[in-house]
Amino acid sequence: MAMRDIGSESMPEGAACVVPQVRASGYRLIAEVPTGLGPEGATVDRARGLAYVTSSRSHELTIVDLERLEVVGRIPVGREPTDTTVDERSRRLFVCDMRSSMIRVIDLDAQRTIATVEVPGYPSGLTLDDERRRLYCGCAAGACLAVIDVDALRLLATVPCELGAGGVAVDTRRQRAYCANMLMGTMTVIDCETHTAVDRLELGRGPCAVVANPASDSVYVCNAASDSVSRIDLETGRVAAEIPVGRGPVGMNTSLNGDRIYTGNRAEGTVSVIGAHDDREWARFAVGEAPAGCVADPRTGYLLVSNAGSSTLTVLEDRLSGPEPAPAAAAPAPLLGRPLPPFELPDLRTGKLRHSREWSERKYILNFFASW
Amino acid sequence: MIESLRRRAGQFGLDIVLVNVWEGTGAAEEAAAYCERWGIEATVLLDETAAYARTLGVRGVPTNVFVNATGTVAGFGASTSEELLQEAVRLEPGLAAARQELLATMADNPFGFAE
Repeated sequence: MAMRDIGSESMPEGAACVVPQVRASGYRLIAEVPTGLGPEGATVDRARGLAYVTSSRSHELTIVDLERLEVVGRIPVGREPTDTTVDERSRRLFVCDMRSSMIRVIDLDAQRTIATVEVPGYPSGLTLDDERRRLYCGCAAGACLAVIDVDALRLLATVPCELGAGGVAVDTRRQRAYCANMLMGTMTVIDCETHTAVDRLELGRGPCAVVANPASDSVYVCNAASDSVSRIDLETGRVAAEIPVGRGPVGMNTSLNGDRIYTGNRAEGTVSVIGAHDDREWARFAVGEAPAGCVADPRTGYLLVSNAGSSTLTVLEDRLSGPEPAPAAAAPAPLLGRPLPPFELPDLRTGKLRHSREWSERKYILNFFASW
Repeated sequence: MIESLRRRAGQFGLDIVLVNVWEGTGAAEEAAAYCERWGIEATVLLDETAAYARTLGVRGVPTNVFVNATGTVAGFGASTSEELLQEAVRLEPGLAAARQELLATMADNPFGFAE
Protein backbone atom coordinates (compact mmCIF):
# COMPACT_ATOMS: atom_id res chain seq x y z
CA MET A 1 0.00 0.00 0.00
CA ALA A 2 1.29 3.43 -0.87
CA MET A 3 2.40 5.72 1.94
CA ARG A 4 1.95 9.46 1.84
CA ASP A 5 4.02 11.82 3.89
CA ILE A 6 2.08 15.06 3.93
CA GLY A 7 4.90 16.81 5.73
CA SER A 8 7.26 16.39 2.76
CA GLU A 9 5.05 18.18 0.27
CA SER A 10 5.38 21.93 0.24
CA MET A 11 2.83 24.44 -0.97
CA PRO A 12 4.25 26.91 -3.46
CA GLU A 13 3.27 30.56 -3.02
CA GLY A 14 -0.22 31.22 -4.37
CA ALA A 15 -0.92 27.57 -5.13
CA ALA A 16 -4.56 26.55 -4.90
CA CYS A 17 -3.77 23.00 -3.90
CA VAL A 18 -0.98 20.53 -3.28
CA VAL A 19 -0.49 18.13 -6.20
CA PRO A 20 1.15 14.96 -4.93
CA GLN A 21 3.30 12.66 -7.01
CA VAL A 22 1.84 9.54 -8.61
CA ARG A 23 2.07 6.65 -6.14
CA ALA A 24 1.39 2.91 -6.30
CA SER A 25 -0.83 1.24 -8.89
CA GLY A 26 -4.05 0.69 -6.93
CA TYR A 27 -4.91 4.35 -6.98
CA ARG A 28 -3.62 7.71 -8.15
CA LEU A 29 -3.72 10.81 -5.97
CA ILE A 30 -4.83 13.71 -8.14
CA ALA A 31 -4.96 16.59 -5.67
CA GLU A 32 -5.41 17.63 -2.07
CA VAL A 33 -7.41 20.87 -1.94
CA PRO A 34 -7.37 22.98 1.24
CA THR A 35 -10.94 23.65 2.40
CA GLY A 36 -12.55 25.30 5.45
CA LEU A 37 -11.92 23.70 8.86
CA GLY A 38 -12.93 20.16 9.69
CA PRO A 39 -14.59 18.99 6.46
CA GLU A 40 -16.88 16.06 7.22
CA GLY A 41 -18.23 15.26 3.76
CA ALA A 42 -19.18 16.62 0.36
CA THR A 43 -21.96 16.53 -2.21
CA VAL A 44 -21.60 17.20 -5.94
CA ASP A 45 -23.65 19.51 -8.17
CA ARG A 46 -23.15 17.53 -11.33
CA ALA A 47 -24.55 20.18 -13.69
CA ARG A 48 -21.98 22.78 -12.63
CA GLY A 49 -19.12 20.46 -11.72
CA LEU A 50 -18.90 21.82 -8.18
CA ALA A 51 -18.39 20.02 -4.88
CA TYR A 52 -19.98 21.46 -1.74
CA VAL A 53 -17.77 20.46 1.18
CA THR A 54 -19.25 20.61 4.68
CA SER A 55 -16.56 22.48 6.62
CA SER A 56 -18.04 21.77 10.03
CA ARG A 57 -15.75 23.81 12.23
CA SER A 58 -15.78 26.86 9.94
CA HIS A 59 -19.60 26.67 9.80
CA GLU A 60 -19.59 26.92 6.03
CA LEU A 61 -19.92 25.01 2.79
CA THR A 62 -16.68 25.33 0.87
CA ILE A 63 -17.31 25.25 -2.89
CA VAL A 64 -14.66 23.43 -4.92
CA ASP A 65 -14.49 23.56 -8.71
CA LEU A 66 -13.85 19.95 -9.74
CA GLU A 67 -12.29 20.90 -13.07
CA ARG A 68 -9.83 23.47 -11.70
CA LEU A 69 -9.47 21.70 -8.35
CA GLU A 70 -9.64 24.90 -6.35
CA VAL A 71 -11.95 26.68 -3.93
CA VAL A 72 -14.23 29.09 -5.78
CA GLY A 73 -16.60 30.18 -3.02
CA ARG A 74 -18.03 29.73 0.47
CA ILE A 75 -21.58 29.72 1.79
CA PRO A 76 -22.00 30.45 5.51
CA VAL A 77 -24.36 28.01 7.20
CA GLY A 78 -25.45 27.39 10.80
CA ARG A 79 -23.41 25.99 13.68
CA GLU A 80 -21.84 22.63 12.94
CA PRO A 81 -23.25 21.56 9.58
CA THR A 82 -23.24 17.77 9.17
CA ASP A 83 -24.76 15.89 6.23
CA THR A 84 -25.79 17.29 2.83
CA THR A 85 -27.69 16.10 -0.22
CA VAL A 86 -28.56 17.60 -3.60
CA ASP A 87 -31.94 17.56 -5.35
CA GLU A 88 -30.98 18.01 -9.00
CA ARG A 89 -34.58 18.35 -10.10
CA SER A 90 -35.18 21.54 -8.12
CA ARG A 91 -31.51 22.66 -8.15
CA ARG A 92 -31.36 22.81 -4.36
CA LEU A 93 -28.93 21.54 -1.76
CA PHE A 94 -30.03 20.48 1.71
CA VAL A 95 -27.72 20.64 4.74
CA CYS A 96 -28.33 19.64 8.35
CA ASP A 97 -27.39 22.43 10.73
CA MET A 98 -26.88 20.13 13.68
CA ARG A 99 -26.64 22.64 16.52
CA SER A 100 -29.39 24.85 15.09
CA SER A 101 -31.80 21.88 14.69
CA MET A 102 -32.81 22.75 11.19
CA ILE A 103 -32.35 21.72 7.59
CA ARG A 104 -31.09 24.59 5.50
CA VAL A 105 -32.14 24.83 1.84
CA ILE A 106 -29.63 26.34 -0.58
CA ASP A 107 -30.33 27.39 -4.14
CA LEU A 108 -27.47 25.96 -6.23
CA ASP A 109 -27.59 28.68 -8.85
CA ALA A 110 -27.91 31.66 -6.51
CA GLN A 111 -25.60 29.85 -4.05
CA ARG A 112 -27.38 31.10 -0.97
CA THR A 113 -29.90 29.97 1.65
CA ILE A 114 -33.50 30.33 0.51
CA ALA A 115 -35.38 28.49 3.28
CA THR A 116 -35.05 26.44 6.45
CA VAL A 117 -37.11 23.57 7.88
CA GLU A 118 -37.22 23.01 11.60
CA VAL A 119 -36.63 19.43 12.73
CA PRO A 120 -36.29 17.66 16.11
CA GLY A 121 -32.95 17.82 18.00
CA TYR A 122 -29.55 17.46 16.35
CA PRO A 123 -30.21 16.50 12.71
CA SER A 124 -27.16 14.54 11.62
CA GLY A 125 -27.99 12.33 8.61
CA LEU A 126 -29.86 13.08 5.41
CA THR A 127 -31.02 11.18 2.34
CA LEU A 128 -33.29 12.02 -0.57
CA ASP A 129 -35.83 9.80 -2.32
CA ASP A 130 -35.84 11.79 -5.52
CA GLU A 131 -38.76 9.96 -7.20
CA ARG A 132 -41.12 10.10 -4.23
CA ARG A 133 -39.96 13.64 -3.36
CA ARG A 134 -39.15 12.82 0.25
CA LEU A 135 -36.23 13.91 2.37
CA TYR A 136 -35.36 11.71 5.36
CA CYS A 137 -33.35 13.11 8.26
CA GLY A 138 -31.98 11.22 11.27
CA CYS A 139 -32.28 13.41 14.39
CA ALA A 140 -29.78 12.28 17.00
CA ALA A 141 -31.15 13.91 20.16
CA GLY A 142 -34.74 13.73 18.97
CA ALA A 143 -34.12 9.97 18.55
CA CYS A 144 -36.31 9.93 15.46
CA LEU A 145 -36.43 10.04 11.69
CA ALA A 146 -37.99 13.21 10.26
CA VAL A 147 -39.81 12.80 6.94
CA ILE A 148 -40.04 15.95 4.83
CA ASP A 149 -41.93 16.77 1.63
CA VAL A 150 -39.01 18.18 -0.35
CA ASP A 151 -41.13 20.37 -2.67
CA ALA A 152 -43.50 21.84 -0.07
CA LEU A 153 -40.65 21.91 2.51
CA ARG A 154 -43.06 20.58 5.07
CA LEU A 155 -42.41 18.11 7.89
CA LEU A 156 -44.74 15.18 7.19
CA ALA A 157 -43.96 12.84 10.06
CA THR A 158 -41.44 11.89 12.73
CA VAL A 159 -40.86 8.18 13.27
CA PRO A 160 -39.44 7.13 16.66
CA CYS A 161 -35.96 5.54 16.37
CA GLU A 162 -33.32 5.44 19.12
CA LEU A 163 -30.70 7.76 20.60
CA GLY A 164 -28.13 8.94 18.11
CA ALA A 165 -30.42 8.42 15.09
CA GLY A 166 -28.38 9.80 12.22
CA GLY A 167 -27.23 8.12 9.02
CA VAL A 168 -30.14 7.02 6.87
CA ALA A 169 -30.67 5.39 3.45
CA VAL A 170 -33.76 4.35 1.51
CA ASP A 171 -34.56 1.14 -0.36
CA THR A 172 -36.64 3.00 -2.91
CA ARG A 173 -38.01 -0.15 -4.50
CA ARG A 174 -39.45 -1.59 -1.32
CA GLN A 175 -40.03 1.84 0.25
CA ARG A 176 -38.13 1.09 3.45
CA ALA A 177 -35.83 3.52 5.24
CA TYR A 178 -32.84 2.33 7.30
CA CYS A 179 -31.75 4.63 10.11
CA ALA A 180 -28.63 3.95 12.23
CA ASN A 181 -28.86 4.76 15.94
CA MET A 182 -25.26 5.60 16.75
CA LEU A 183 -25.44 5.55 20.53
CA MET A 184 -27.31 2.24 20.69
CA GLY A 185 -25.57 0.18 18.01
CA THR A 186 -28.85 -0.60 16.26
CA MET A 187 -30.73 0.15 13.06
CA THR A 188 -34.42 1.07 12.87
CA VAL A 189 -36.20 -0.09 9.72
CA ILE A 190 -39.12 2.11 8.69
CA ASP A 191 -42.03 1.60 6.32
CA CYS A 192 -42.05 4.75 4.17
CA GLU A 193 -45.72 4.47 3.36
CA THR A 194 -47.09 4.18 6.86
CA HIS A 195 -44.21 6.05 8.58
CA THR A 196 -43.89 3.35 11.21
CA ALA A 197 -40.92 1.36 12.48
CA VAL A 198 -41.23 -2.26 11.34
CA ASP A 199 -37.95 -3.82 12.44
CA ARG A 200 -34.84 -3.30 14.55
CA LEU A 201 -31.43 -4.77 13.70
CA GLU A 202 -28.35 -5.24 15.88
CA LEU A 203 -25.21 -3.72 14.38
CA GLY A 204 -21.62 -3.10 15.55
CA ARG A 205 -20.69 -0.22 17.88
CA GLY A 206 -21.07 3.42 16.86
CA PRO A 207 -22.95 2.87 13.56
CA CYS A 208 -22.96 6.12 11.63
CA ALA A 209 -22.96 6.49 7.84
CA VAL A 210 -25.53 4.43 5.92
CA VAL A 211 -25.72 3.97 2.17
CA ALA A 212 -28.06 2.04 -0.14
CA ASN A 213 -26.56 0.13 -3.07
CA PRO A 214 -29.15 -1.12 -5.59
CA ALA A 215 -26.38 -2.90 -7.53
CA SER A 216 -25.98 -5.38 -4.66
CA ASP A 217 -29.55 -4.96 -3.33
CA SER A 218 -28.05 -4.05 0.03
CA VAL A 219 -27.71 -1.29 2.58
CA TYR A 220 -24.30 -0.79 4.18
CA VAL A 221 -23.56 0.85 7.52
CA CYS A 222 -20.14 1.57 9.01
CA ASN A 223 -19.56 0.79 12.67
CA ALA A 224 -17.12 3.49 13.74
CA ALA A 225 -16.20 1.88 17.08
CA SER A 226 -15.97 -1.71 15.81
CA ASP A 227 -13.82 -0.98 12.73
CA SER A 228 -16.29 -2.82 10.47
CA VAL A 229 -19.06 -2.42 7.91
CA SER A 230 -22.38 -4.29 8.22
CA ARG A 231 -24.16 -5.26 5.02
CA ILE A 232 -27.94 -5.69 5.19
CA ASP A 233 -29.45 -7.87 2.47
CA LEU A 234 -32.60 -6.04 1.39
CA GLU A 235 -34.35 -9.21 0.22
CA THR A 236 -34.11 -10.91 3.61
CA GLY A 237 -33.94 -7.72 5.69
CA ARG A 238 -31.14 -9.31 7.76
CA VAL A 239 -27.48 -8.45 8.38
CA ALA A 240 -25.71 -10.71 5.88
CA ALA A 241 -22.07 -9.79 6.60
CA GLU A 242 -19.79 -7.81 8.90
CA ILE A 243 -16.68 -6.79 6.99
CA PRO A 244 -13.51 -5.65 8.82
CA VAL A 245 -12.09 -2.35 7.49
CA GLY A 246 -9.60 0.29 8.69
CA ARG A 247 -9.74 2.03 12.08
CA GLY A 248 -12.68 4.30 12.81
CA PRO A 249 -14.84 4.14 9.65
CA VAL A 250 -17.15 7.16 9.92
CA GLY A 251 -18.07 8.00 6.31
CA MET A 252 -19.09 5.79 3.44
CA ASN A 253 -20.33 5.86 -0.14
CA THR A 254 -20.69 3.69 -3.23
CA SER A 255 -18.76 3.84 -6.49
CA LEU A 256 -20.69 5.15 -9.49
CA ASN A 257 -21.71 1.73 -10.77
CA GLY A 258 -22.18 0.26 -7.29
CA ASP A 259 -19.54 -2.46 -7.65
CA ARG A 260 -17.62 -1.26 -4.60
CA ILE A 261 -18.05 0.69 -1.36
CA TYR A 262 -15.62 3.21 0.12
CA THR A 263 -15.20 4.03 3.82
CA GLY A 264 -13.35 7.02 5.29
CA ASN A 265 -11.31 5.63 8.22
CA ARG A 266 -11.05 8.57 10.58
CA ALA A 267 -8.62 6.98 13.03
CA GLU A 268 -5.89 6.03 10.54
CA GLY A 269 -6.02 8.36 7.53
CA THR A 270 -7.10 5.77 4.95
CA VAL A 271 -10.02 4.80 2.71
CA SER A 272 -11.05 1.12 2.57
CA VAL A 273 -12.43 -0.28 -0.67
CA ILE A 274 -14.95 -3.12 -0.26
CA GLY A 275 -16.23 -5.32 -3.08
CA ALA A 276 -20.02 -5.08 -3.27
CA HIS A 277 -20.35 -8.65 -4.52
CA ASP A 278 -17.73 -10.43 -2.41
CA ASP A 279 -17.94 -8.68 1.00
CA ARG A 280 -14.16 -8.33 1.09
CA GLU A 281 -11.87 -5.38 1.70
CA TRP A 282 -9.98 -5.06 -1.58
CA ALA A 283 -7.47 -2.41 -0.60
CA ARG A 284 -6.74 0.57 1.58
CA PHE A 285 -5.73 3.95 0.14
CA ALA A 286 -3.74 6.52 2.16
CA VAL A 287 -5.44 9.92 2.10
CA GLY A 288 -5.34 13.02 4.37
CA GLU A 289 -5.59 13.16 8.18
CA ALA A 290 -8.79 11.94 9.86
CA PRO A 291 -10.82 11.30 6.68
CA ALA A 292 -14.58 11.23 7.12
CA GLY A 293 -17.15 11.37 4.30
CA CYS A 294 -16.43 10.43 0.72
CA VAL A 295 -18.33 10.71 -2.56
CA ALA A 296 -17.64 9.69 -6.16
CA ASP A 297 -17.70 12.60 -8.64
CA PRO A 298 -20.53 11.64 -11.04
CA ARG A 299 -18.66 13.19 -13.95
CA THR A 300 -15.31 11.40 -13.57
CA GLY A 301 -15.77 8.68 -10.97
CA TYR A 302 -12.92 10.21 -8.94
CA LEU A 303 -13.31 9.77 -5.21
CA LEU A 304 -13.55 12.98 -3.16
CA VAL A 305 -12.51 12.39 0.46
CA SER A 306 -13.09 15.02 3.16
CA ASN A 307 -10.21 15.00 5.66
CA ALA A 308 -11.46 16.50 8.91
CA GLY A 309 -7.98 16.57 10.45
CA SER A 310 -5.91 18.13 7.66
CA SER A 311 -8.87 20.29 6.53
CA THR A 312 -8.46 19.24 2.91
CA LEU A 313 -10.35 17.43 0.17
CA THR A 314 -8.42 14.53 -1.38
CA VAL A 315 -9.25 13.80 -5.01
CA LEU A 316 -8.13 10.34 -6.15
CA GLU A 317 -8.58 7.95 -9.03
CA ASP A 318 -9.38 4.38 -8.02
CA ARG A 319 -7.63 2.07 -10.49
CA LEU A 320 -8.55 -1.24 -8.88
CA SER A 321 -10.22 -3.91 -10.97
CA GLY A 322 -10.59 -6.25 -8.01
CA PRO A 323 -8.96 -7.17 -4.70
CA GLU A 324 -5.25 -6.41 -4.35
CA PRO A 325 -3.14 -9.58 -4.13
CA ALA A 326 -1.73 -8.79 -0.68
CA PRO A 327 -4.28 -8.42 2.13
CA ALA A 328 -5.22 -4.83 2.90
CA ALA A 329 -3.58 -3.54 6.04
CA ALA A 330 -2.84 -0.26 7.69
CA ALA A 331 0.70 1.02 7.22
CA PRO A 332 2.90 -0.26 10.06
CA ALA A 333 3.54 2.42 12.65
CA PRO A 334 6.94 3.83 11.77
CA LEU A 335 8.03 4.21 15.40
CA LEU A 336 7.08 0.77 16.70
CA GLY A 337 10.06 -0.56 18.66
CA ARG A 338 11.84 2.83 18.54
CA PRO A 339 12.27 5.47 21.24
CA LEU A 340 9.33 7.82 21.60
CA PRO A 341 10.35 11.28 20.36
CA PRO A 342 10.27 13.74 23.28
CA PHE A 343 7.31 16.08 23.60
CA GLU A 344 6.80 19.46 25.22
CA LEU A 345 3.13 20.44 25.10
CA PRO A 346 0.89 22.77 27.12
CA ASP A 347 -1.30 21.26 29.80
CA LEU A 348 -4.98 22.07 29.14
CA ARG A 349 -5.77 22.82 32.77
CA THR A 350 -2.69 24.76 33.91
CA GLY A 351 -1.41 26.16 30.62
CA LYS A 352 2.12 25.10 31.65
CA LEU A 353 4.39 23.12 29.34
CA ARG A 354 4.70 19.45 30.22
CA HIS A 355 7.74 17.50 29.03
CA SER A 356 7.92 13.79 28.31
CA ARG A 357 10.77 13.51 30.81
CA GLU A 358 8.09 13.77 33.55
CA TRP A 359 7.05 10.27 32.46
CA SER A 360 10.51 8.77 32.11
CA GLU A 361 10.75 5.25 33.51
CA ARG A 362 6.96 5.02 33.59
CA LYS A 363 4.66 3.03 31.36
CA TYR A 364 1.98 5.18 29.75
CA ILE A 365 -0.49 5.52 26.91
CA LEU A 366 -0.83 8.67 24.79
CA ASN A 367 -4.43 8.88 23.62
CA PHE A 368 -4.72 11.23 20.63
CA PHE A 369 -8.27 12.54 20.38
CA ALA A 370 -10.45 15.31 18.99
CA SER A 371 -13.75 16.52 20.41
CA TRP A 372 -15.55 15.90 17.08
CA MET B 1 -13.92 3.59 29.36
CA ILE B 2 -10.63 5.45 29.33
CA GLU B 3 -11.20 7.04 32.73
CA SER B 4 -12.01 3.65 34.28
CA LEU B 5 -8.92 2.21 32.62
CA ARG B 6 -6.79 5.09 33.83
CA ARG B 7 -7.91 4.76 37.43
CA ARG B 8 -7.35 1.01 37.46
CA ALA B 9 -4.08 1.24 35.56
CA GLY B 10 -2.86 3.92 37.96
CA GLN B 11 -2.73 1.25 40.68
CA PHE B 12 0.09 -0.35 38.67
CA GLY B 13 1.82 2.90 37.80
CA LEU B 14 0.51 2.94 34.20
CA ASP B 15 -0.65 6.42 33.21
CA ILE B 16 -2.94 7.55 30.40
CA VAL B 17 -2.34 11.01 28.96
CA LEU B 18 -4.81 12.52 26.50
CA VAL B 19 -3.46 14.62 23.63
CA ASN B 20 -5.94 16.88 21.87
CA VAL B 21 -5.31 17.45 18.16
CA TRP B 22 -6.99 18.88 15.01
CA GLU B 23 -9.57 21.01 16.81
CA GLY B 24 -9.23 23.91 14.38
CA THR B 25 -10.03 26.97 16.43
CA GLY B 26 -10.50 27.29 20.19
CA ALA B 27 -8.78 24.00 20.97
CA ALA B 28 -8.58 24.66 24.72
CA GLU B 29 -12.30 25.42 24.98
CA GLU B 30 -13.36 22.46 22.84
CA ALA B 31 -11.07 20.05 24.68
CA ALA B 32 -12.22 21.34 28.07
CA ALA B 33 -15.90 20.96 27.13
CA TYR B 34 -15.23 17.43 25.88
CA CYS B 35 -13.48 16.44 29.12
CA GLU B 36 -16.30 17.82 31.20
CA ARG B 37 -18.94 16.01 29.14
CA TRP B 38 -17.16 12.65 29.47
CA GLY B 39 -15.92 13.09 33.06
CA ILE B 40 -12.25 12.96 32.06
CA GLU B 41 -9.79 13.81 34.83
CA ALA B 42 -6.64 12.57 33.09
CA THR B 43 -3.81 14.91 32.13
CA VAL B 44 -4.75 16.54 28.81
CA LEU B 45 -2.11 18.12 26.58
CA LEU B 46 -2.77 20.33 23.56
CA ASP B 47 -1.08 19.56 20.24
CA GLU B 48 -2.82 22.36 18.36
CA THR B 49 -0.69 22.37 15.23
CA ALA B 50 -0.60 18.53 15.14
CA ALA B 51 3.20 18.80 14.87
CA TYR B 52 3.75 16.17 17.55
CA ALA B 53 1.04 13.86 16.16
CA ARG B 54 2.78 13.97 12.78
CA THR B 55 6.15 13.19 14.36
CA LEU B 56 4.63 9.96 15.66
CA GLY B 57 2.88 9.09 12.38
CA VAL B 58 -0.56 9.63 13.93
CA ARG B 59 -2.95 10.16 10.98
CA GLY B 60 -6.32 10.06 12.66
CA VAL B 61 -8.32 9.96 15.87
CA PRO B 62 -8.64 8.19 18.16
CA THR B 63 -5.11 6.74 18.06
CA ASN B 64 -3.32 5.29 21.07
CA VAL B 65 0.47 5.13 21.46
CA PHE B 66 1.75 2.69 24.09
CA VAL B 67 5.09 3.56 25.73
CA ASN B 68 7.01 1.18 27.96
CA ALA B 69 9.24 2.03 30.91
CA THR B 70 12.34 2.35 28.71
CA GLY B 71 10.61 5.05 26.64
CA THR B 72 10.12 2.74 23.63
CA VAL B 73 6.94 2.70 21.53
CA ALA B 74 5.51 -0.73 22.36
CA GLY B 75 2.17 -0.43 20.55
CA PHE B 76 0.28 1.87 18.16
CA GLY B 77 -3.32 2.28 16.98
CA ALA B 78 -5.86 0.35 19.04
CA SER B 79 -8.88 2.52 18.29
CA THR B 80 -11.56 0.09 19.48
CA SER B 81 -12.16 -0.47 23.20
CA GLU B 82 -11.21 -4.16 22.92
CA GLU B 83 -7.90 -3.38 21.25
CA LEU B 84 -7.12 -0.59 23.75
CA LEU B 85 -7.73 -2.99 26.63
CA GLN B 86 -5.73 -5.76 24.96
CA GLU B 87 -2.72 -3.47 24.37
CA ALA B 88 -2.98 -2.01 27.87
CA VAL B 89 -2.81 -5.51 29.35
CA ARG B 90 0.18 -6.29 27.13
CA LEU B 91 1.93 -3.18 28.43
CA GLU B 92 0.92 -3.84 32.04
CA PRO B 93 0.06 -7.53 32.60
CA GLY B 94 -1.16 -6.72 36.12
CA LEU B 95 -4.29 -5.31 34.45
CA ALA B 96 -5.36 -8.75 33.19
CA ALA B 97 -7.24 -9.44 36.42
CA ALA B 98 -9.32 -6.29 35.86
CA ARG B 99 -10.26 -7.24 32.30
CA GLN B 100 -13.87 -8.30 32.99
CA GLU B 101 -14.53 -5.28 35.14
CA LEU B 102 -13.19 -2.92 32.46
CA LEU B 103 -15.12 -4.67 29.67
CA ALA B 104 -18.27 -4.11 31.72
CA THR B 105 -17.64 -0.34 31.76
CA MET B 106 -17.75 -0.43 27.95
CA ALA B 107 -21.32 -1.68 28.17
CA ASP B 108 -22.12 1.29 30.39
CA ASN B 109 -20.86 3.70 27.77
CA PRO B 110 -23.14 3.22 24.77
CA PHE B 111 -21.08 5.65 22.76
CA GLY B 112 -18.55 2.89 22.43
CA PHE B 113 -15.52 4.98 21.59
CA ALA B 114 -12.30 4.38 23.48
CA GLU B 115 -12.55 7.39 25.74
